[in-house]
Amino acid sequence: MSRNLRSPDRVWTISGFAATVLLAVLSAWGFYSCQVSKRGIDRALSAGAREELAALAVPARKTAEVEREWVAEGFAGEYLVAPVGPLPCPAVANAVAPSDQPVVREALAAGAQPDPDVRIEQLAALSDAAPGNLLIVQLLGTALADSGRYPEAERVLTQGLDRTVEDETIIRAARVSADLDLDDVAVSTVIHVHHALGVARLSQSSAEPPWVSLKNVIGCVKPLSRRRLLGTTRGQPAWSRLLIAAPGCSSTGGAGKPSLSSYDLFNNLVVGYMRGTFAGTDRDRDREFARPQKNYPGPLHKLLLAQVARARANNWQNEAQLWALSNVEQVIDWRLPDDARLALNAVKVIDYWTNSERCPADVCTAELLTDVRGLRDELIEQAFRRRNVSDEQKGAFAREATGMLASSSLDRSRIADSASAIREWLPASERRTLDDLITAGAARAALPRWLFAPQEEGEAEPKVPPHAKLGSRADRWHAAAMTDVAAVAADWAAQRPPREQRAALVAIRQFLGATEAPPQLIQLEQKRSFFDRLRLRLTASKLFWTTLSILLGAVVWLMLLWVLVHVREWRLLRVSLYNVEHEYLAGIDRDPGTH
Amino acid sequence: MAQYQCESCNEPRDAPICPKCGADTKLRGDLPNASLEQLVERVSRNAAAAEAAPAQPPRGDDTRSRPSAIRPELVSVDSPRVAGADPVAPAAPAGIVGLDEFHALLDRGTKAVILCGASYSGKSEIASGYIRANSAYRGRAQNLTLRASLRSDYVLGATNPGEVWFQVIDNKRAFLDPSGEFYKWLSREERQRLGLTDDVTEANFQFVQRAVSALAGIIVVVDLTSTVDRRQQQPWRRQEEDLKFVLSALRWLRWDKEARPEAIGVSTNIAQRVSTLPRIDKRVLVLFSKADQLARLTNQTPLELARKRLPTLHGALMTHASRFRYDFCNTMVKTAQGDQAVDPCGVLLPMDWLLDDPLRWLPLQLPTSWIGGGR
Repeated sequence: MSRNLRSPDRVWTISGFAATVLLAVLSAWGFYSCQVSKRGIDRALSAGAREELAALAVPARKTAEVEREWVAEGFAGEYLVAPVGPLPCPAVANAVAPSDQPVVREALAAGAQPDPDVRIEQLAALSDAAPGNLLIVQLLGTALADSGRYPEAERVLTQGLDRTVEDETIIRAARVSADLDLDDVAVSTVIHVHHALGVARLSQSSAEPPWVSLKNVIGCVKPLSRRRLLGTTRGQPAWSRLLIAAPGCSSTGGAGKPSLSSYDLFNNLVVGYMRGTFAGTDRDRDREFARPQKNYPGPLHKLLLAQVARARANNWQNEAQLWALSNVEQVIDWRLPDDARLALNAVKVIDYWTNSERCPADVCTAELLTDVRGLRDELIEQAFRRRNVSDEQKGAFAREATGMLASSSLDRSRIADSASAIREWLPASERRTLDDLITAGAARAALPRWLFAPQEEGEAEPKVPPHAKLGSRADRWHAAAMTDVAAVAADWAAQRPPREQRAALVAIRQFLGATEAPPQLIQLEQKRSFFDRLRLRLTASKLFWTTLSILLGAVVWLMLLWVLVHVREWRLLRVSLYNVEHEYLAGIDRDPGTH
Repeated sequence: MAQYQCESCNEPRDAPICPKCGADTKLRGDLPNASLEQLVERVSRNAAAAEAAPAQPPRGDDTRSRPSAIRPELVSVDSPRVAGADPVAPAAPAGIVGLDEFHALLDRGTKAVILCGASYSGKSEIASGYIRANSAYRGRAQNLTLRASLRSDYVLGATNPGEVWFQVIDNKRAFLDPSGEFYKWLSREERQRLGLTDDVTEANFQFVQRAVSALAGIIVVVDLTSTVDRRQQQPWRRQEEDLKFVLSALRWLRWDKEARPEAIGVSTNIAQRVSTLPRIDKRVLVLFSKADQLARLTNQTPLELARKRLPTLHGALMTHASRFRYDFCNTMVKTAQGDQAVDPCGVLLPMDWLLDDPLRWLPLQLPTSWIGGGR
């Protein structure tokens, strides 16, 4: 027997109390489930409507903001400079004047020295012995630049060009003479020397602006390219990407390095402009920024014209960068550059000019920005696909490309293979970010189907949501993705009949929960009256139904408890507690040890 | 003014009842022209006769056989319940022993559990028995509040006339155990027997007035061993009548805030007003004490007993109380050597019902009379 004297109805009351709690919880849960599921996607929308929603493409808006945070640190770098071209090939010795052949042969032999210091020393001695020989200057300048000795390279190249006027003669002639070609040794040498000088100036804080030499080679290459390309078909893969063979070399390259290309020259000119403070004369501007009238102008063409007009009104602020944009526009007007470095730098130039500080709404209309973003995505895709950068630039390129991927809305599944190759160029700590970006792209594409697609009979419900692989980044990304999905779903709902639109709005609000609503959804709701809006928001809110369910559960519990209390009272009235205690005491007397 | 003489105290009095001993006095004119020696002899004889007639057990608080404190009726109170009276000064509990201390407890937020019942019905023993039972069965110790009268073998003895005893239950509640004498002064029959022709006054309720405002529950103690005539249909009619008045008075005290016109007496006022007032909202526990001597009666449920044999009390409860229940109890047994304290029986669980029901907060509870406690 228990030592404690307890009321005879205690067990009955506790059981009854537990039953009231259970019934109240069940009724609250049942009410909540019924109300929420009735207004959810599964039951509020027809199968046809859900199929349509499942097929929607979700643009990266909010998710792009979240993804940009992933690459906010460590994924943005400098413009990528195209390196110097390869050294001349031995065959060049036969192409120069006979008087120069011995020294050229010696220079080529010196250039083949495996030790860079010895190579440079021997080339420097030969350069001093044959001043004004641009071929030896190119050999020495290239060797110095390859060794990272940019100031010396700049000095040697500048001195070499100062000692001769041959380069100016050739550049001038290239604009008009039909006899010159890119394969000419003299032309090739001049191009390589000027390019090397540009690289040397871009790769250090030189006192001299780089664009003089860079513009020179472009000025030379442009007419030569046009002549070379006469009769070819625009749009071919190699169109506009002209390889400029090193002196004496075939166009495939030389001395273990790929040939210099016209893209390298454009790339460095663009980089030079973006870094500098170039200011042209009115004549220069008129010539550079003049564009023929087009029936179907590209987005970059429109952006350039708008920015030129704005710059003209603003006393040509950021003129150098405008020249860079002009050059990018020229390159892209031909076709997407078949060069990862130039594509990446072009994206940076576009980002510079579409930044809201430099591109107010009257210049960058929503339509223009949409078109420019499309072009931007193409350039990023091109950069991933080509990824033709030198070994030294692979890390920087991979980080830059990953950063740009985060702010793009391109279909990442198309570059998954390229991304896996680029992934290896990243340090281990940054590989995860690229993986997450690719996963996020796939998740974004799969999200509408996961949310809306009606389940086929017998089809197992996918248990893992598409964004689950994002790990610790999943929650924030998912919230942003819901906003993006809600935006396209709201656009879809705007086209539906009123009854279906209302059901869709409730369902959208329900799956959105406390997540930020997109402007499209708010706009659509604003078309309704205040009370309708209020009713819509309340019926869509799980918190509202939770509160109501708790209240209902509490009321049910109180009612059941009320009944319980009265039944208990009714039972207790008919019990003599005296007799209960009497029996208890009698029990103690029978078994004194318990008391 | 008429002059009276108390024969017990042998002192002149202004009232027909002696304020010192509570005994009946006689008009001065009734006294024979006796010598001083004769008078002394008469007083001595009366005293001897009183001692030789132990009509009550040794714990008696019979006001006529023992000296009493000041009678409640004689306490001068200007009650605000009377129209035209000074509303500023609430009645000072002058003369009621222990009331000041109890009121100080109420000031601390303590709620009162009022014990009602006739003298010798066992009110104090029930309060004390609850403390003992709680300690023995539940391991919850509580100090017994000291009281003036001597105790032996855990027998408390009667509460002195003119005294309220109280017993702290916990930090929130305390029993208020007034002397049975206070209830006796409210009894119509007792007043008639004492030859009091005037009505009760607000001062008669002073012992319980503040406690009713801070009410936690009411315990009505009925001594079924004390009968008018066992052969009658209602052998406990007198107790029933007294308790009926007490219940109506408590209801009136708790709810009626309206001033009484001076011309209307208190009893009339209660009778007229009480039906308009809400029922007593706190639980009322009716305990049939001394159940050890009621073997035949305890075979039935206390509700059945009350319905059949105490219809007046049952009717009063149905009328004045919202929630009530009946039960038997005993805290002592009668032996040849006198009363002896035993483990209380029928005290703890009924008190749990009264004090510790965890669901008492539930609103809109039906009156007991609606859920099987009616006729």
